[in-house]
Amino acid sequence: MSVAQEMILMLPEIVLVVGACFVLLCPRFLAWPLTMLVLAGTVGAMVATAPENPTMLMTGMFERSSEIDLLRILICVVTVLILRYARGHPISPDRLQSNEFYTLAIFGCVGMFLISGAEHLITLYLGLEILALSLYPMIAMMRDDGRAGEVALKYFVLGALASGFLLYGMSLMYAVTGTLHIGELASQLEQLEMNRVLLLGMVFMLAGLAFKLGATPFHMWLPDVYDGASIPAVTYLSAAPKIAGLLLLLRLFSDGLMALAVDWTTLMMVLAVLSLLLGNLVAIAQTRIRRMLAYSAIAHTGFVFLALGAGTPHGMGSAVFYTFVYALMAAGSFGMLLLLNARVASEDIQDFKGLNHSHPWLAIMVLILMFSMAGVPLTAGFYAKLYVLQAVVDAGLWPLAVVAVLLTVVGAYYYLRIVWYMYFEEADRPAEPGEDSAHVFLVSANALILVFIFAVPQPWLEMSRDVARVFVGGQ
Amino acid sequence: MSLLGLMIWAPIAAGFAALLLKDPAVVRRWALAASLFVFVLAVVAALGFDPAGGYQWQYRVPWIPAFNIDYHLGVDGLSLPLVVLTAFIGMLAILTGWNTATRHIGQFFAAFLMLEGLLIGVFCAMDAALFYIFFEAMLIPMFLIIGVWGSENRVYAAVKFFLYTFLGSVLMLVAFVYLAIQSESFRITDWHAFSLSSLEQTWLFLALLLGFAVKVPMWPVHTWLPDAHVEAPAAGSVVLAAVLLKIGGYGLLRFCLPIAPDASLALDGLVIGLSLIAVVYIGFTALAQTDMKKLIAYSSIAHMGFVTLGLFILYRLATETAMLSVSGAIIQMISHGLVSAALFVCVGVLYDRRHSRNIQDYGGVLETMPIFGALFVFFALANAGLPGTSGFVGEVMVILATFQAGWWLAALAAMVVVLGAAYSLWMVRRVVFGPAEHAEVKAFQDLSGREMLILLALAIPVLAVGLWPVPLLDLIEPSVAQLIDQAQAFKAGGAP
Repeated sequence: MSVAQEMILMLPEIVLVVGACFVLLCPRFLAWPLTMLVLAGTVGAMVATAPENPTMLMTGMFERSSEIDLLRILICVVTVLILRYARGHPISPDRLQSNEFYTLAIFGCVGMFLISGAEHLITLYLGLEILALSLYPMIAMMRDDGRAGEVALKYFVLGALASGFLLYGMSLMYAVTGTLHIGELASQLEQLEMNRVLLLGMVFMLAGLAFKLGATPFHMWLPDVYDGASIPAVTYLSAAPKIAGLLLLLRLFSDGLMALAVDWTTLMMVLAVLSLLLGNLVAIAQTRIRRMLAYSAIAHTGFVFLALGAGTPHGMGSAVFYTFVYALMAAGSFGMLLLLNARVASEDIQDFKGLNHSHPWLAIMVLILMFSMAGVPLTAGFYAKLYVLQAVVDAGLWPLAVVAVLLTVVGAYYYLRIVWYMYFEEADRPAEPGEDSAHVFLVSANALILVFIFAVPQPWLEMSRDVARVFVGGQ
Repeated sequence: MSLLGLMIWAPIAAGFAALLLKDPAVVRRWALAASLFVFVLAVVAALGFDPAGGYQWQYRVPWIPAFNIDYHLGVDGLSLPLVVLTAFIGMLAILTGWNTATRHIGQFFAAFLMLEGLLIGVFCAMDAALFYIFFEAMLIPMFLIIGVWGSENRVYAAVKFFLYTFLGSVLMLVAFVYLAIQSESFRITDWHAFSLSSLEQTWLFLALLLGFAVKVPMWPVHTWLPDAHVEAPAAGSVVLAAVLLKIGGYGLLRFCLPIAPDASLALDGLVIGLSLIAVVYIGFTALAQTDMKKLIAYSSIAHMGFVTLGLFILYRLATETAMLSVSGAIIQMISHGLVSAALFVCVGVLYDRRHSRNIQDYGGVLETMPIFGALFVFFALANAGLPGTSGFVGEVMVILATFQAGWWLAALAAMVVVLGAAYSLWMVRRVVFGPAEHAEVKAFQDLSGREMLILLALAIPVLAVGLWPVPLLDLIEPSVAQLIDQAQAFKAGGAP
């Protein structure tokens, strides 16, 4: 393939990188429209250059396929949503609506794009680090806020440690197989006898990723970061990178290390059950909404690990669907939080009290989001859970399915609590949501799409299955 | 859109519209009109129904091919009476709650209309996933009805209601998923014909039983019911007692017996035992209550125990007698739906006047409310199974059938009549009769036109079924015969 052809297929990434530079340098008032333009241009470039078949680029280091493009479009859409939500944040608009913030958000997308197409461990690592290096300053951006600085440091140190784990695991893989190319790695591993070095490498890689994704017992940073960072940064962190994390897992384990599936599925199951257990139980005790959502994120990560732990194409499809739905739910929840929080930075769960009396429409939207998180029908969250359960039962692991659903019931409690505060209680301090009607519209659309996905699930389910198919079996 | 689809979605759409309406008077009339429309449709469906024709009014389109889930509706002789009951009670519940809500009136009626649509969906679904979706979605409006418009301890009751039912239903979901994977279909009728090993059946049976036992509710998972009933507004209690509990019995009929016949046979002792505990122990518990709503709630548990007894005793009976007991159980479900709804309306009527549910706060109500007193006594007698009322028909059928399985079973089952008479009559004696001692009671006004309309509307079918149950029996019998065939078509090679 000629260089020109490769450049055309890399156009989305090129648009992002060039656009990010322009956003950094442009006058302040142009930063926001330019960011939207860049993201829209990226989506446009992706649609315009979509290849018919999966194509290898850059001497086999990067793969472009139209199925994964769908997820990358989703990453862009979620990013746009989040950046728009972040504009509702009244505190420090000079920092959180600055050129730097938008530039970092776009570079985060570059990292996620690289992860999504990586066919080589180095590309994968590069993508992950670009993403992580965009997130650290984003969290630290509120530099006069002591807590933000503290959690940024915490996140940085643990993130660096996790990267170290991942790299060490990769190097062990390289030591045994002599290749960093994921496709070659997969075919090499199929011929190799299992040995301890491989096992060690695999465990290190999984631990590194579990750190990044916040699965128990590697979750310690997550509640602190969710609670301490500025909401716009947390919103960004909570939604789009989850999709990238899933792609990372799919690429590394379901594709590269498929030959070792017997070993990593067991480990993933352990991570899944621990995450579900800890996330759901500890979330009950939280009084601050962001900490609650953090533990809920851990529990949802548990569900994704459960799906992948099934070790089947079905399981991978369900993981994609689950993550897709979760990204929308997380974006919606934080978007709602930003809207409700336009007044002060206090985020006690009690602040939801009496919302139905003052803002019945917003209360219904929160109700949809919460029931979707709990996995109750009439919302997309139900299919997400159903699909995972189906994959898990299909793999013959029905006791795990039982454990998962029982913990879902535990989880339902803390989502219900928000609903009952809104509907059953009187407000101590009436919430004063922002008057930003575009924000209200976006959050409502964000919540209602979950109902729409419930009514018309087939295309999304097919999309998830197709995405999973790209990874199955290695290439 | 099919007739059944219209019955499901019309009230839900009307509910959304009710959210937008501002004027309370308009909202009330709108809700009543919508529920009346659904009731008319239900009557049309019933008139066009041929008892011998199996599933009718079917409507089927593929919905989620990825999961083999269809949007598939249909009714047979087991579900049609419950659909009509739901539409009927839905209408009366709106009338009962006419003045309950003082704010968010639109939300109040919207919740009831949506609840009605979802409940009809539960009974019409022929696809298990669809059934599950309605089954669980219905928790949302009920949760809000108890929690927003309930009395003091409503939050506790609403959350307990939600979590109990959710717990039962998620295990049921795992069972459904397992069945769907094994049979590659979510159609309930496919599952009926699908053969399973006895080990599989046992696990499936237990999972399904837990899901439905919470709904029935059977002892020992019944504790949410007294709380929910006591705290819910009168209209909520009416729907809860009359329809929600029936979903448990319906689920056992539709899922447990035909899908896991071997396990049902092997474990029928368990269900019969739990049912008898409900009849006897809960019957005595009801006797001790001082709160009228609690008393009726416990009476509901005892009566529903009688229903589950009638269903599961069938393995100990000849086919003829099994017909008698299962039909009796279904009639008992319908009858209990009507009678318990009426009793909750009666308590609501008293509560509106005195703001108390305590039996002690009343006495001599007959002096000031003669018409109400007569109706209250009538429904209490129906609850006790007086001949001529619907309560009698179901009870006598089940008890007669149970005699064949063993006289001591029948004797224990008959306790439902004895205890039912005891607590029902004792309650009316203390509330309705005697001298009126409380000044508030002396100032009572008799029934308003609306209240009278509700109670008379309920009294008519109670009498009709009691005096002439043949049309109803004709309606259900072909389906019951088919159910008994399925329930005795042992799949794993186990001999009866």
